[in-house]
Amino acid sequence: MADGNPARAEWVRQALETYERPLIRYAARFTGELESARDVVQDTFVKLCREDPAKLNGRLAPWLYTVCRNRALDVRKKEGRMQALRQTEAEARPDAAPGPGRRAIAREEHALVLEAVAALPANQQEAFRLKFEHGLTYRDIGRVMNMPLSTVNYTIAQALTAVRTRLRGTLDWPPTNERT
Amino acid sequence: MKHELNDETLTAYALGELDAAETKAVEKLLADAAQAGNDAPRKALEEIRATVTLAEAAFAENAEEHALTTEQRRALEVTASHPTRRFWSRSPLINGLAAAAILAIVAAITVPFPRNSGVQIAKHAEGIVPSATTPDVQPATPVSSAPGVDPLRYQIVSRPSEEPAAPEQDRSAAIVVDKSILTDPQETQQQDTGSAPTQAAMQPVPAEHLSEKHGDGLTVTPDPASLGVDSQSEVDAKAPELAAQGGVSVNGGKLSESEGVRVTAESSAAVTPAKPGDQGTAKTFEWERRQLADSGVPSDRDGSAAASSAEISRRNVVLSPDFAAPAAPAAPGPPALSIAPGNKKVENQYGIPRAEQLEQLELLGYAEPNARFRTAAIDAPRYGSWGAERRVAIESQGSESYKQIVDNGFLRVSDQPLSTFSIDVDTASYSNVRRFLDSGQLPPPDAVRVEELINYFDYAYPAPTDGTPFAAHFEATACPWAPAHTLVRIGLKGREVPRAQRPATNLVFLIDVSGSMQPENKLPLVKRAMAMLTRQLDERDRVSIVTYASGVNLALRATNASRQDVILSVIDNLGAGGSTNGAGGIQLAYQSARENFLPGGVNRVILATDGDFNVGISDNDSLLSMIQNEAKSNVFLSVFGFGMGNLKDDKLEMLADKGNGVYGYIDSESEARKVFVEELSGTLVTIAKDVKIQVEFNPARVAAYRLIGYENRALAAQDFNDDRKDAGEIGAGHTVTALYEIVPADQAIPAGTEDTLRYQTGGAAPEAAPQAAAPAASPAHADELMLVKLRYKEPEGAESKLLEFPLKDQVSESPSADLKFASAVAAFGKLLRGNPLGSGLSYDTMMQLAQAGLAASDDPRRAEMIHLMLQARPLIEGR
Repeated sequence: MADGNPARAEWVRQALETYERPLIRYAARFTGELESARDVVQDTFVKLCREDPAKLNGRLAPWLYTVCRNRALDVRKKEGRMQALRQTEAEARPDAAPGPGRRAIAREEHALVLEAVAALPANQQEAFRLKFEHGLTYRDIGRVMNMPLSTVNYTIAQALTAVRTRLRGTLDWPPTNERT
Repeated sequence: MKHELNDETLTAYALGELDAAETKAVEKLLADAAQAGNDAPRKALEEIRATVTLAEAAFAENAEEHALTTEQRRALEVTASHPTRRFWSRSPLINGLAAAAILAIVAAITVPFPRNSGVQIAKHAEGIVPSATTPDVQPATPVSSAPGVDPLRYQIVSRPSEEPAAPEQDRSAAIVVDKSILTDPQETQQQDTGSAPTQAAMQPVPAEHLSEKHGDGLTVTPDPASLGVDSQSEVDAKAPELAAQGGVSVNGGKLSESEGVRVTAESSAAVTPAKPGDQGTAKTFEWERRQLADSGVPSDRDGSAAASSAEISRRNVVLSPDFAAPAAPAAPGPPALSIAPGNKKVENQYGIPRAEQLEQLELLGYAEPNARFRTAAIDAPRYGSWGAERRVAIESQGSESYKQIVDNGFLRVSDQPLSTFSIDVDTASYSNVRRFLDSGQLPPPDAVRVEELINYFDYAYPAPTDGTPFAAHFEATACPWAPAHTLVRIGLKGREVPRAQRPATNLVFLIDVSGSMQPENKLPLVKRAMAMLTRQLDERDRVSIVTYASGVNLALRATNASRQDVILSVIDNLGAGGSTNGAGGIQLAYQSARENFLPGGVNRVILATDGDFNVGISDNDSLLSMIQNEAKSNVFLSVFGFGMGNLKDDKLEMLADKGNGVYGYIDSESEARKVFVEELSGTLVTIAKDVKIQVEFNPARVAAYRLIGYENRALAAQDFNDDRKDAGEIGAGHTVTALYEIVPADQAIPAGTEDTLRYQTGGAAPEAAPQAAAPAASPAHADELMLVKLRYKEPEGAESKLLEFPLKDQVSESPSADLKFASAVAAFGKLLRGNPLGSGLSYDTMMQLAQAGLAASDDPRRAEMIHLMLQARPLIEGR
């Protein structure tokens, strides 16, 4: 670059590399469609550009998810699109994610898991996804979703129990020992 | 600390979310339970782990991979490098510009523009009697230039018609006596030497022609039953009733659903007034057209007989390269096909034998394939090294994208007396079409922009001599594909700027160096092209180079062009690699251009890309408005597409359009030489911007008109006087040509070629007497065909100037070679689009017109055009 701060540019570039796609997925769950999810994520990274890398050291992920979530909620509120999945809605629409994602799901059991996840109440689903899709820790999930650790603990356990209960009836489940 | 093995504890444990002490405690509990014979906690734990594994795998495998758009990424990377400056849509600079723009708009609304200053040609007194030697360009009537549509010159709203439209015979007479060329003074001087009208072509029309063709406005259309029955006939026979029910029409022999869709005629066969009783819907026209076309097919289905008859008649006829064969009378009236069921040899008024017609029909898909014949009437084109070096293997069309073009149809003057459009000096479409034809393919129809084909060539329009930025020239003649119609050429010629007087330039090369640019016809060609351009520059000029791929790079800070070695070595060292991800390349390029801004000079960003200049949907507007704002502060953007397979033709054109620049497509070194060496001044130096043309047609003289090409340059009538509306630029020495095909007031509009109104059907029936369609005509200008108005701004000006040119209703009997050539190119372009201008022009005649154009100029590009016509012929005929 002509001027500016190459180290910062590199930092943002790496953050983009790692978080761009997951954040778009995450934001799309709130906005319900891809374009505004992209805008949300762009805004998130624009904010990141003005942060001090040292200050965010070690908590980049929760920072990004928090900013992204708040922005996405703003957008959703502004656009009047209340997409929170109620139980019934969720069953009618097992995958509220934007379009192109509806590729054929390779394995039947994956389909069942995703179905089960989609059927979860909104907050459980979000926590569940942040944990298993986005790989956040309980602590980070607590920061992002603005809830105490114990609530995260409870919520995820609830969600996981709901999913595995649901799988019980449909698969050879619980799995045999060699799976574990 | 959890003291029981509930789901929460087990889950947290399984996920490693417990601290060391907790983990230890849970493990103890688990061991205790196992010891006590309680298997449940262990099983639950296994189940949790299995579920987690499954869930993680399911998420990982079905994760949607949506990235930011390339543009968003580039913007971000710029922001990252300039943390205090935000992305352009929020940049204070842009906000400031926006505010300034709003102020300017307010000012434009409240302050009237100065009137008609410095008009070049408005110096002849009004009312000069037209004669063979007097230019009939008259001074402009002062016209209010406030935003909105000008008052119409030819129509008086408050009075009923006092002066009936010129009757048919009058018009014929006008054609006979009037001298050929409509032009401005300069052109008249040039053209007057040595163009004697051909008297043979000026005979009065024989009465039987009129009655046969025209009679009382009707044409005898043969009964379908008497026509040759081909495989399509059954389908066709159902057409009228289906069409009558609405929703179905016949298009090129196929039944197609067309409710709400304007049917684009596969061929506009012959000029014919509609059959009596028809209600004049487009659908019915379509059927009429089919019948007429079919009627040209020999009814005996004997292809060989037809072919031999065709060959015989062909041998007996020498086609004149002129529009009208000397022996044949030029006459108003339907030109193309005389209807004669059966296998008789028939000629139309233009001496084109029936064989020609047959071939034309076959070309259009209506004739039996075995009736095909070919001739080698055209000499091999004289072209030397042209074309040889640019034969590159074609890549897949893959992700190329073209904006859809809907061909202009005829518009009734009674409905739309004004035709408004922006000029276009782009030539990208020509070189792109050439690329396809060179590789043995027809281009996609939407890749063919006819005006860009026409404007690829130079025409010998004299340059202005009085300091105005461009001169306007006009010429009218019988339309080659429909001789009863008039073809009017509007030609603009930009002021020449000699190399020595070229203003200093501040150029920023913005070069795409992403991995996709590796092929020989991309980055290597870009480098050769940029080197060529650099060698044209000198100590007046400065160059910077910005590259973008995975990131943005200022490869060369602004460097004086006297340092050729430095610039050339930087160009030489460019290499392609990396993803197309992110670079605020354009942002940085503009920044560099601004930092080195040369007041009064040429400040221009030159973008070279293979087309993947991906402007994301959400970002499109901010990118375009940025480009527009930069153009307003006189940093212009020219866009050059290289390579193929990924060409975002529509997008690139739009970028250049907003950036007040040229859009070119560079497919070869010779094309690069044309753009960056031979026409460098035109490429770099804009001499007038926002050039708009508005034509008002005189309803007393004109029934309908169509503009050939310029479909994506159309403007609303009120945009003409609106200086906020962007339009095309003209560069030094550029020529711009626009062709109008005009249906005289005494002629019917060709069936199926009219742009019909979607929501109004009953009103404008085609058989309505043309005279009735001519409303209150202003007697003061009764002899005028049309009024051409031009608006333009000086390159750095904000207010437009107006030029007006009234044209008399006169046609040239000996059209210029340039007009012949341009009309051939127009016909060829429309043929490539699969939507011929008319059936009155055979392929051979079209090529002869082009050859006449070549003979007059010896421009090797014209030879190449003829070569392309030859290359395209089997492809078009095989379509």
